[in-house]
Amino acid sequence: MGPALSPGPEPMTQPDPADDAVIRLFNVSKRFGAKLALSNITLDIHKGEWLYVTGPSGAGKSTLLKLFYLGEKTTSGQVLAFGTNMNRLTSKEVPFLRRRFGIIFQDFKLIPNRNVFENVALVLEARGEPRNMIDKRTRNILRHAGMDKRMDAMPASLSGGEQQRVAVARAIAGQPDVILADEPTGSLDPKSAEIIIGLLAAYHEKGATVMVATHDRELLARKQGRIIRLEEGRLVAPEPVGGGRP
Amino acid sequence: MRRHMKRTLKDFTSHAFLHGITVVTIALTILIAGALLLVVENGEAVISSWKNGVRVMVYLKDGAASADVEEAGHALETMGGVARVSFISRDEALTDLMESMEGQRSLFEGLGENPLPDAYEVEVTPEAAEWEQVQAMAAAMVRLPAVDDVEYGRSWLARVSHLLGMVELAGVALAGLFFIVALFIVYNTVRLALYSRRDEIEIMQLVGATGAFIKIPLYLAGVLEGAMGSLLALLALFGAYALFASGTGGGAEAFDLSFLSPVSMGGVFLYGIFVGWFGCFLSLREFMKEASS
Repeated sequence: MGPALSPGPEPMTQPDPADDAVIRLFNVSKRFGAKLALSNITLDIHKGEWLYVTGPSGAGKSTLLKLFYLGEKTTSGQVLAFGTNMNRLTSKEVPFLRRRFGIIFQDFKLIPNRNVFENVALVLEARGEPRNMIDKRTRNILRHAGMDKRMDAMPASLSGGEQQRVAVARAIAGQPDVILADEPTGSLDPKSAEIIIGLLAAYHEKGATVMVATHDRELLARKQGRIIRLEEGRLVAPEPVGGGRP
Repeated sequence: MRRHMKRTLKDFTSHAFLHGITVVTIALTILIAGALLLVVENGEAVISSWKNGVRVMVYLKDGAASADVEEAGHALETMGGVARVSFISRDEALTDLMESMEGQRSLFEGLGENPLPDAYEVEVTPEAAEWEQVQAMAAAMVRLPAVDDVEYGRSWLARVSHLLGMVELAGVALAGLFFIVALFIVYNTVRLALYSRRDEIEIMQLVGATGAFIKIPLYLAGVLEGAMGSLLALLALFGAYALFASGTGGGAEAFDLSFLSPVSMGGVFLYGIFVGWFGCFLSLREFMKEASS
């Protein structure tokens, strides 16, 4: 698979002080009440890297991804995204940081009362892009995702694999620097999973950083990348695997 | 702004049920408050029309000297709170009485001498037509040498004046209360509507939508719902008023009843818009706080 997708991410607007790291974590911990979800994580994620975050359910994979787009805030430690300290962002700056991430969820999170086209176009509308550009780019992305025949369909009428293809199209519509995919193939059959990984791989080829949280060992075999493992919130085995960078 | 308006209108069609429920809720609460306002306005009109008609009959002593009668007339004309004074001779009074009781002419056949006294009819100004003031005026009139008795529908005026005063006060209080109730009901309806759309709003936040992008169409929807709700309420109120007025068989005209004044209608309409906006403002403030925490 691996269709050619949209033109790829726009260049970074801010030079990163630490070589090519797009995200840096320093002694990051996250606590939910008495439960320590993440414990003292220090990690660099590089530009153009394909990174797997593995570990059993409840290990803290989703929490780690949420820290990057401020779905959660750290209890202690620092997260630097594109050279910006996330703890210092004002609420007005958060949307602009989020535009540099494309987020994919296991449960797709499509808006149920909007059709396929509208779900993808929303990303561009939210940025105030001109109407003709929104139309053109949305159609283009949906064609590459193989969903151009279902543009008017409502999410409920789509299969799981199709819904995830729309979610991937939405994630890359804004040409983000980093894709965060939380168990993107967790609820899909093997064929659909392969299509999704193919779409992500095509976008990765354009220079984007892709971070996939998964506990599916089979998925790791589909695409080579660096693997980090979390257990009970601790980074237990950073496993650098060659070929993660384009 | 055109783009936001387009999104709002599209949202109205895709969430027709939710918006419909909010519009109907606004309409019902404003209808109740508007109905109370209508009662208050017409109560005021009825009171002032009745006050305009307050008259005092000053009956003169039989055989009073003409100088005393003239002096009494002059004293009444110069008395504070008096709008007009007219003399009704005993003969005129009898003629009027006989005319008004034309069917029972036989009652007057064996009457012999006219039993009615000469009288002055005193019309009270609307400002002075309060129970206590009319009572004080009557007490001053009865002290005049030529005056035998004074009649002014004592208890009737007192009761009606007090009753209407209370109705007016209760109406104003209830209308005010219902306008506040409308605000809370709308706030809760909008909050529930937003709650049912929390996933959609969360997704918008995740794709990098700014607060303004999310909120402006919701505010516009609130204003639109308020405007539609208050228009619906005014139409329903007018329909109910027209039905009532036609059902009273001219009674409405007799009491000089009328629909809400243009100022009140404008006020109700603007209040509907305010309720829609403010309900949205409170709900969104709470909702966005929860969403970002």
